[in-house]
Amino acid sequence: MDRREFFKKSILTGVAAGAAMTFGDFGKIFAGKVPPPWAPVPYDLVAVRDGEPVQMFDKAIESLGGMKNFVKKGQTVVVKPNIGWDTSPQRGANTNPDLVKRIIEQCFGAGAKTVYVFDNSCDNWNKCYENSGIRKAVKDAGGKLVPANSESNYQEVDVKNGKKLKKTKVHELILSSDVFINVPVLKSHGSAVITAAMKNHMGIVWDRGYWHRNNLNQCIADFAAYHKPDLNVVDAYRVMTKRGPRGVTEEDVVMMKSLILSKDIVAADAAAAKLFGAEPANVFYIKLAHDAGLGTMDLTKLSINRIKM
Amino acid sequence: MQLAFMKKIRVVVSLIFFIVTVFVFVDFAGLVASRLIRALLYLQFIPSFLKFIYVFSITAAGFLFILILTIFFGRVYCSTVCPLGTLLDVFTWISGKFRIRKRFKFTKPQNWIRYMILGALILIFCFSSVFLVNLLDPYSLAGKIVSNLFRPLFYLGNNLLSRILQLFNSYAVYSVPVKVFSWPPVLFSFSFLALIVFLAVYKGRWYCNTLCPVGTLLGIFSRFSIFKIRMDENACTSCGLCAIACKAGCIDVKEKKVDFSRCVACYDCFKSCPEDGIGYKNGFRKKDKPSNLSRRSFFKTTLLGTTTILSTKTVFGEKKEQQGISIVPVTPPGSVSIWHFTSKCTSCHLCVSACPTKVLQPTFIEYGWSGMFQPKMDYHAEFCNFECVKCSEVCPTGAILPITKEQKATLQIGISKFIKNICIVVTKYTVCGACSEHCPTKAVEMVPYLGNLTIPKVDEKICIGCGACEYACPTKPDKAIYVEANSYHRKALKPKKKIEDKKKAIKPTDDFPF
Repeated sequence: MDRREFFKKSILTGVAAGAAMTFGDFGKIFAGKVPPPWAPVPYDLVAVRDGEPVQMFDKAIESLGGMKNFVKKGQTVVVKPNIGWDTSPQRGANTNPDLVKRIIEQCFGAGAKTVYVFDNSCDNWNKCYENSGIRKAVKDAGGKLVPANSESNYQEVDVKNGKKLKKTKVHELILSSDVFINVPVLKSHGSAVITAAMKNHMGIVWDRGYWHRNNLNQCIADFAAYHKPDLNVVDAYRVMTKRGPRGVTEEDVVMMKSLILSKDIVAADAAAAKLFGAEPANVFYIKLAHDAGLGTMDLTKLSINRIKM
Repeated sequence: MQLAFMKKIRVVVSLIFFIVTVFVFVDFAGLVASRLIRALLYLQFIPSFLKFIYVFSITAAGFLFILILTIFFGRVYCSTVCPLGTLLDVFTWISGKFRIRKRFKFTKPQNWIRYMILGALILIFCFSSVFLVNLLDPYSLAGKIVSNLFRPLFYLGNNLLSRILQLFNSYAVYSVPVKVFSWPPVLFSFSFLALIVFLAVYKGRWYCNTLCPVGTLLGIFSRFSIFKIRMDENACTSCGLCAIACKAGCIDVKEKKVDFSRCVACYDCFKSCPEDGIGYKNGFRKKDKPSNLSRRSFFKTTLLGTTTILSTKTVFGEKKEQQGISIVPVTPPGSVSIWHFTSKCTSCHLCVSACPTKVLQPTFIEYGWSGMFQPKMDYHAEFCNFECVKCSEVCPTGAILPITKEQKATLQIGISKFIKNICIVVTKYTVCGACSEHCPTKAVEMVPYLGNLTIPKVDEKICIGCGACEYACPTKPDKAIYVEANSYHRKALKPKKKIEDKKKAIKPTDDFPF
């Protein structure tokens, strides 16, 4: 590279970076999505039961080689729980705050620079963050709880190979962060049978109405093809078995005291469905995602570590 | 100039009232507790009066204190508590600083106009309508100006700051989307603000002494005040400085008389007089000449005005039924009935400002011309939070009466109606369930439809009309589920505490099911 070329390239890069920063798309530049160099995890799926959320998570992540297998020093992480509803933790409508807190702590333990937490909630976001107990959990763990209520924070992306969902607006932190940890809560759902990992993606996009208008199951599967979390942690500690996803009383909740971890979002949902007493093939978005080759819902083909506390 | 300190006190008190009131109207984070808001607005004359005649308790007796204060010292309300008065003063002060303002001078009272308006307003009110009150009450006008003009600007500034901070990776300030923007209340507030600015610069307190019903009413009482502002005929040198300073235009230097019915107790004249020739004097010591308005003409104008205005007054119009929209607007929980609400609400838009979800939005003439700008539940903007009773806590007029969260949980303000033929499940043959998902009582439930599909079904007995289903419904342009208003709010049944699973109850097992 001669001097002229060097100057030309520097200036071009500078202009491009400047332009990108101006238009708010700067995340993509610094967070080039390269395949992670770390070791493959020892199990396809870890399932834990009969413990408290914190202990179960510690056990599960340890069996996957520790959080350092997912988060490297200096990386930015998004932990995305379900904070969709203005209800108390006892109602099981939102992800368990203790679990969220522990995951953030583990991320920092692995050397994470920043851990962001957000959800595009259904009820008023401020009340959801507060009453779910997640605001306090994130604060205590040193994470950053980010509002997701403004369309200006969402960027339109192309969903490649999407059958129904071709374009959708995604929260900018998903695009700019290095690691995405999906932390749904397992619940019943009036129309989608269950909601867990894949459906939790509806909290990182802006226009959910479009998904509902255009074959919800297909849109959920399409988006799973576009974006896969680096780790899925399905909270099945308190499971809302009926009247979900919001629930009405604490009577809707059953204590299952279980937790599922997997890199494979389809497998995580399939195991969650099994816990719920449903066949994965009867939860249509799981079947669609399985058929599209985004993961496997056939749990017999996976190496599973089953831990009883 | 011995009494000049009184002006300073007046300025400080009025600014405290004004700044806190404005802040309450732009505060989106709920930083000011409802209790403090109630205390702050306790003395607002018309809201307090409206609430008092309904609840009849000391908790709403603020207007009585104002009346007593007026009996003693004249219209102190107008220069301290009244936010519109202070807003006028602010503009007058600014115009003085920039030397745009002319000198004030003595003007003749516009008795015909002011008593006609007051009389008409009282008579219309006897027919249980707040028409004219909602357009002329100074507190509610100030509320409309702040809520519809200052508030969006404040949000805009906040959102800009939020975006800038985010560039530096700080999420300390969150943005507040302005979801609905309706022109009529904004245009009304803007025109009125323009009028206010013009009057403040050229006419001082003309509004307060001509159009304002509170000013007129308190003016009647201040005629009989125990202490009145008078000119000391011996000390007065007829220099006219007091008249130049008087923004109410009520000091007649030639006659050495102060028209105390129009005096807004701002005490600017105390400061202006080099001879200490003007100040509070005992009102009974020397009889005033009777004012130039005879009792007969008072009644005459009042009656005449009333009949003209009553003849133009309209009540609820019959509207044609439209698909997917309530015929009558849904009123907020605690407002008892559409009649209670519309006959009490002065459309100050405090509830609109305070509503955390912004489901409360101002209307134009959806309640009829007599209920202009009164707010409604706008389920296309948002839905009512199940746990929130903020509007009922802050409403100063009693249009929305205080309710508890427990009461609200079964307070039915409307009923969801399902329009099957435009539902996604029917038109596109695909799953949806957005309505049922959002329903806090599961009054909207997904029941089996064709094949594996489920379709919404409404249990009207437990529906509370919060509008979550209507808001969430993704059909366009009409919603397939909407809330039909209850003209009288009713009590809904409690949602079932427990339901039995139709298939098999899910129970924790001893082992992993995979």
